[in-house]
This record gives sequence, C-alpha cells and structure tokens, in this order.
Amino acid sequence: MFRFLKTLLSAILLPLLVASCVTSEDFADTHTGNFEALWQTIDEHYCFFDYKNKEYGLNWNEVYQRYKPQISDDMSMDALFQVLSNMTYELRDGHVNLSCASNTSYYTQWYEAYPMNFSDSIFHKYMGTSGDYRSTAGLQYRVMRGNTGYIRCSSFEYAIGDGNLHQIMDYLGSCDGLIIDVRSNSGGLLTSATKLAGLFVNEDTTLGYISHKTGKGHNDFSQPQPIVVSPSTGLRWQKPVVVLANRRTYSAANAFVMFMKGLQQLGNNKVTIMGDTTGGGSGMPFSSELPEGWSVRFSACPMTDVKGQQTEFGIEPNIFASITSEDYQKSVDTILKTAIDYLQK
Amino acid sequence: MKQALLSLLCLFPVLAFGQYRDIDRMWLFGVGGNALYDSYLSPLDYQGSSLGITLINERKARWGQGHVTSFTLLDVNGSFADNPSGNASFYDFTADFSFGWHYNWIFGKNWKLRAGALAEFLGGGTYSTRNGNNPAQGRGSFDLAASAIADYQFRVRKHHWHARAELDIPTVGAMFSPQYGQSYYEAFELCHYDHNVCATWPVNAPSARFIATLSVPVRKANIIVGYKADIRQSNVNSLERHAWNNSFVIGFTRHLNF
Repeated sequence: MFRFLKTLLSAILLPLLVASCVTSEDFADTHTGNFEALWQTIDEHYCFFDYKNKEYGLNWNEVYQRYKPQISDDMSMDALFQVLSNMTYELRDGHVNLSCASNTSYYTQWYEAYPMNFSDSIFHKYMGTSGDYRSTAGLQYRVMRGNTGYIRCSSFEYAIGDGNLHQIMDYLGSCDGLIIDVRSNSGGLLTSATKLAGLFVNEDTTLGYISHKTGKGHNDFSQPQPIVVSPSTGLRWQKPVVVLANRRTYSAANAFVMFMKGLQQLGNNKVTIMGDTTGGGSGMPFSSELPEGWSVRFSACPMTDVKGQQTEFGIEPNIFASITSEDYQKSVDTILKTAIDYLQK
Repeated sequence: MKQALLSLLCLFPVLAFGQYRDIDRMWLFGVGGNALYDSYLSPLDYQGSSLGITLINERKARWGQGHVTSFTLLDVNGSFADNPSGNASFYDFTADFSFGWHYNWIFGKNWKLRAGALAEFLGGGTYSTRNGNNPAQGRGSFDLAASAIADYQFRVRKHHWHARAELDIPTVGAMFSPQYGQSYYEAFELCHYDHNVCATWPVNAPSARFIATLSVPVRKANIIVGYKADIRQSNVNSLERHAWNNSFVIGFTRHLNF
C-alpha cells in the first residue's frame, strides 16, 4: 500500500502539480528589469496603439529600441524614473502615469499647449459668494443673467444621485436655458458623468460605446458594447442647454461632453457644445506596478462616441469661443458670456 | 445567526438525506503563509500571512452497506500580503464549502482508505490597496473534485493515535472571471457579458487541497496538529492567478451522536 501511494504521488500527482504551476512573470528588480516590465505591461494592456499609429505613427516596438540603450543598471533612480517617464510620454496620453514615492509623471501637452479658457477668479465674480449659489454633490448652481440656469461641475469625483439632480432642477426649472460648465473638469467617476447626462434623456439612450482588451495583442478587443444613459428619475431638463468645455475637460468630463454631443448626433437640437476642444482621455485607466514598487497607470478600455469615432484626442465644440487677454484684464468670462447671450437669442 | 448557519451546513447530509448517525467532527485553526498572484491586479507576487478555520464532518452513510461515508467541509480563510517592495498590499478572503461521499476500504487493523467525489463551491475576493479602476478581483467557482483520504490508527502507550491525510483535486467545474482587460464597471454597471463564466479543468485551473493531521488523545479530548496546503490556480481569459496557502493547523475532534 505504501508503495502504491508513493508511486501515485511521485509519478503522477507531484509532476503534474509542479508542471502546471501558474507563476508570475519573472522580472528582475533591476533598472533593466523595471524597464522591461513597464514596456511589456503597456505593450500587453494599452488600448490605443492602432489608433495612435494612424494618428501620429506611434510604434511601440520602435519606442523599445529607442529607449532600451538609455537604460543601464548603474544609472540613478531619478534618471531611471525620467527615462521611463519619457517613454510613457510617447503615448501622448494623460491617463498614463508613472508614480514613485517622490514623483508622479504626467503627460500634460494635451492642455499645456493650449489656452486655459478658464479663470477661477473671474468665475467667482460670476458665481458670487457662497450665499449667492447653491451646492450639492460637487455641483454648484445658481440663476444667472437673463433667467439662465448655470451648473458648475468642476469634478466628477463626487457621486451624483437622482435626488441631487431633482433638487437642482426644482430650483432651476423656471429658467429659459441651462449652462453646464465642465471646463477644467479633469474627470472622476464615469457613473457620475452618466448620471448627469441622464438629466437630458427621457428614455434609455445609447450615447457611446466601450470595449476592452481580450488578449495581449495590440488588436485583441471585444466588440464595442453600448453605454446606455438612463433618464434621471426626478425632474429632467427639456429646454436648450449649452455645455462649456476647454482643453482641460478630460476623462469622465470628456465622456460627459461625448454623451451630450451624442444627443445632438441623435437629433436633439437643443444641445450645444461651446468653448474649446476637450482634452480627450477616452480610455478608462487600469493600474499596475513595476518590480521596484512604482505604480503605473494606463488607458485600458477605449470608449467611442455614438458613431464609433474616437474621442481620445478631444471633442470639438459646435461654437468655438475663447477668453481673450483683453477679457481677462476686464474680468470677463467670454465663453460664459457668449453662452448666456446665445441662450437669450 | 453564525452558529445557526454553521449548524445548517454541518447538518446538510442529515437534512438532505434524512440520515441520523454518528458524526466525526474536526475543527482546525490554521495560521500560515500565502503567496498571491493575480495578473488582473498586478504582475508581481505578493507574500503574506493567513488565518483560517476549517470544519470537517464525516459520517457513515445509510446506503452502501457501511462502506460509504458522507463528507462536508467548510473552510474560511483570510490573508494579508505585500508586494516585494512592501508599498502595496492585497487583502484576500476565501470561503469554501464542499460536500460529497467516499467509499471506504479497510486494510488490516490500522489502515482505512477512502476515495470519492466532492462538489465544491468557492467564493471570495482580493482587494488591492493600490489600484484604481481595477482595485479588486472577485471569485466564484463550482467544481467536482476527486477526493482521497488515508487513515492510519496506531497505539502509543495504550492510547489510540490517529494519522490522517486528505487530498482533494478539482477536476471539472466553472468559475467567474472578468475578461482580460474588462473593467468591473463594464461587467456589473453596464452588464456586458464577455465569457465571464469559464469552464475549468486541471489544465487551466490546476488546484489541490492537502490536509495531513495527527490526532492525539489528551484526557477525554482528541487534539489535532497538522499541515494544510490549499493550492488554487487558474489561467482563464489570459488572466493568471495563484494562491498558494500553507498553514500549520491545530484543532480538535469530536464524536457526536445525532
């Protein structure tokens, strides 16, 4: 019996278990190992290779060849961080970050190369003091000149509920037009962006598509599936609405603009996008890490608009408007002023 | 409530089959190490410690002419593990309920061998303190496992000592898994199904549970010391995972009459 058990264990079970071990990638915690781990993580998970190859000729294999000679195991940690950060900048994606204890790298050209088109101090001149406006779920709102309702959404980090939206609509319901200001909103919860868009639909409406990677290949993607926006359960807006955007409108805020433009594309002529092209950022980011313990974030799940078009590099407004330097000096928010005038026509 | 649930699980064969017989019940409390790897969360191996409780019930079945025993196992395990550089952590929780039957062979006075099949339900999850849109991985699986138990009784100074070894190997089953790059937002908020229930077998989910114990009589009780290895692995939807849990166990057995 002992012999039988011993034979069974040694001849069948143990080799089977050893041979079938599921093990992690064996990246060394060296500068070279960290470089290889970063390059491979992006290579296997990043979702815009094909699109960006067509847009500006991104070739991730060529990037490897160009950056590999810059890595040596005796370089300083700061130098390694800089080289790896530079490599991620090749993706031209604000959702790709490398973080260590002392620094986080951001690709910022998606907004730094463009006019700001928003000023906090001018904004507060329009909003007034805290007694002049209301605030709930990260949304500040008031009635402005010409009986125009105004909602400032500076971030989607807060969860927005139907009850919040109902109360806002109850307050602004008598206005003739509505402005949703998502300038310099760098994103947050996609669910909040979807919830806010629910103010403007009266039935479940497909306003975008999302897909995900199904394997490590650059073109291994699932079929795009609809992002359905459900109507808010309380009061909803049925009159003209203008959405204000700038180059710093990014990620979930870009998705909100995409939803609103989708409404327009489906024939809703009460929606207008005004300001500047959004910053983009249409890939939902995932996180990973390097052997050194540095954190990596990258776009993983691409979203497209209702016509299947990419919005990674931004969404153009229907009406371009910008704050001129003279207007900055006069403390005039040209974009907001243009929107109010537009709604009063 | 907790006690009622445990009692219900222990009495499962009684409730299901109306059998009232002696029960050998074994409580095991484990402490050990866990090596966690989940490529959905991180490409790195996380190492840490684990705590667990295992409850095993065995009884003679009414059918099978005394050669068949029914078996239930409830295992709950929690782990805390760090990445190699120690700046991120995984919190892992697993609950496992198995039941089935064994056919018994008795060899001489000391040896008893049992072989049978178990139905195994496993649930749990791993939470990463680091990640944003992929912060956690949920688990849920069902499988049919081949199971073998070897019992050896021997005497030490007029007392009966009892050595026991159990090996359970899942054969076929099904498990939940997100698709390779699918977010939980897409799977649950938008309800997009994409091959999220995967068939498993030893090639894509080679797993095993091994428990070796020695039961020593101490006064009127039987104290158990032993070792438990719970090896859970999967490679589905191009997502790799392992949880290699090794524990030192200590516990006691009770012989109950229902």
